[in-house]
Amino acid sequence: MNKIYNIILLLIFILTYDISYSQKTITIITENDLNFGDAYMGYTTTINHTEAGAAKFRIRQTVLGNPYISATLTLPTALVNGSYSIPVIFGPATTAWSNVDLPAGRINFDPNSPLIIRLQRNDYLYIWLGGVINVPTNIVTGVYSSTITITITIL
Amino acid sequence: MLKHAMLACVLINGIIFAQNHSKTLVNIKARLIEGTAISIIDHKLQPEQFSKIAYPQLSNYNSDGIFVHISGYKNNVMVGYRYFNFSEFDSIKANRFEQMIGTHSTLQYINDQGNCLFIYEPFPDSESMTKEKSHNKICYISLVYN
Repeated sequence: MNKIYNIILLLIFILTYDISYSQKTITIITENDLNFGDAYMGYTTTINHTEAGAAKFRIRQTVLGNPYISATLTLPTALVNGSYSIPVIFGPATTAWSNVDLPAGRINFDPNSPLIIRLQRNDYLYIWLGGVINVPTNIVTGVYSSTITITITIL
Repeated sequence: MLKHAMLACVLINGIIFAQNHSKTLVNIKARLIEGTAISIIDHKLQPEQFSKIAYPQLSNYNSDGIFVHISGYKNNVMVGYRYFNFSEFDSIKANRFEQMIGTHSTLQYINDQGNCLFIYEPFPDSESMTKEKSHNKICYISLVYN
């Protein structure tokens, strides 16, 4: 009886290890940070998704099949330098995705809502994120920064 | 002992199995610097001379006016300007130009081997060409980004 129990346990171990191995191979690679470069007081700076300063993510899944995935971006409302801040806006005009790493054929989407698409096993999903900063005039010079979190979920 | 080890692996894998998501961070950065987005600051001119000449004669591209010559795209843009016999080149970023679109400026466009090449002149009655700013030795030029 104890031997059968051990065999069953071993089988479960092998199966779950294999399944879990495939499940955890959702990879996200940040290829670019979002860099607005030099900004000037009183002016708006826009980074389009096609520009070198745009954030870029490369996502790949190795789950069997063709599942729906969602990409959720947690976006800041401002870049911060101490007690000073610069408002930042994200919208569909400066955000896009594609399955290929090319400017042509990109599809704009609203980064404030989850992007839900099908992604074939071993295919890539690229996301480019630009934005707009409106620089106030009553702040100090220096480096203003923040972070964006992207979460990819297999639905 | 082996049985317990496998049981632990099953439990850990079960936890991993439940994690069907992945996340990462990206940084955002902007460097706020002093000054205006586009300005031509001529330290060699007397403010009085500047304002006197700038108003009536900027509508023509001639040696009496200010000649602004911008080439390149997005980065490493050269801005050259000439004022009588004085000329100078500055390197600025072209992506700031789009913020300066003004209806009061005139422009000519020249395609220079795939680069964007613009010639601009500030319109004489441009609001940004105020006497006050001229006295601060700053010439604001309205530009159109094409």
